[in-house]
Amino acid sequence: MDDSLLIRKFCSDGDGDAAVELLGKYQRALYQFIWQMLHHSQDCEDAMQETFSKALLALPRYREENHFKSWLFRIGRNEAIEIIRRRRRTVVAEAPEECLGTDPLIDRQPAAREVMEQRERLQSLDRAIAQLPDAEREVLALRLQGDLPFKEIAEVINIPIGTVLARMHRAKKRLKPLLESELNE
Amino acid sequence: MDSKTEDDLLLHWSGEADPKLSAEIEALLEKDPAAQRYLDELDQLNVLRDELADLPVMNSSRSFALEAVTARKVTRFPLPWIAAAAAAAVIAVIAVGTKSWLHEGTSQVEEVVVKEKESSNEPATRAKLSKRLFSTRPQDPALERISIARDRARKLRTELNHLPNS
Repeated sequence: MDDSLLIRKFCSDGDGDAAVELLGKYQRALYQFIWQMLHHSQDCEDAMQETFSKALLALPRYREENHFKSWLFRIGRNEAIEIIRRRRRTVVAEAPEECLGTDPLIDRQPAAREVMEQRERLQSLDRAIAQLPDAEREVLALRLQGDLPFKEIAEVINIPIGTVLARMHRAKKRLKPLLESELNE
Repeated sequence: MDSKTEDDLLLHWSGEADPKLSAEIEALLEKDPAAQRYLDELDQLNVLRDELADLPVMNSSRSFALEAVTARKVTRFPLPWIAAAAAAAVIAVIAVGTKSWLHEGTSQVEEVVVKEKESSNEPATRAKLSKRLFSTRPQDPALERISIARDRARKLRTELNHLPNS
């Protein structure tokens, strides 16, 4: 269902299911973006809860000339920044086991070994991205995982689109050797 | 390749270039291998995005959306109770005021009320009784107190109705 319709149903009729559907559409992408900012499961969950609570509270004031997704991501970004500030935590990567889970049977089964290799690869990719400067990683995550166009990324971060493109260009350039290095380890 | 061309390629890759710019980029890609290489590298980012789709592992059964909506309902729950409590307080104030006035009233008025009660099989409602009392004793201080209490109650109810999310 269209975002505008869901918003109307929630604001006018108090339809909770419409709100669940609306926020649920962006839950995964938002979680992934916030993950790239915080790299900590508990922090991500706290940020998600706060973001959705604030979004519901502010929804009656939402104006349709903004895209709902970028509006929601802006709240999520602010929340993640607030968590970083509050807990005085810069990007702290979680232990891989905590992040990706572990399976004691992995070494005994060939299929399980493939799963483990896949997890290790994912871990390497994630580590490479985590090494990017915050501003570049943010743009990259909003584009790749948030699937937001550059124009809307500029709205979310509140910077000119030219700056967004420059950061994306630098992130791409920096990421290439980082990926090679992490994947060859 | 200059930064303007890189920006244009990024917009083209992102699908945000207008038709005119797209046509220019297509023409450039045909004659400039560096531009084509740059675009290929951007396409590699899409591969990376697909690979990262499963990261991080999130509890699939957990719905932050549902939790937020449920939490909002819970926080809204006390409001009807506040309204009900306010209404009960209003009724109590009116009842106490009426009782107080009846005790202060003259025997003549009490007789009238008793007589009317006796003459009618229906019990006198609070509204009827209140109306009668106001019409017979408009200057009574007790009535003024009741009137003030009613005004305050009305204002309180209006303010409650104007509370957000009420």
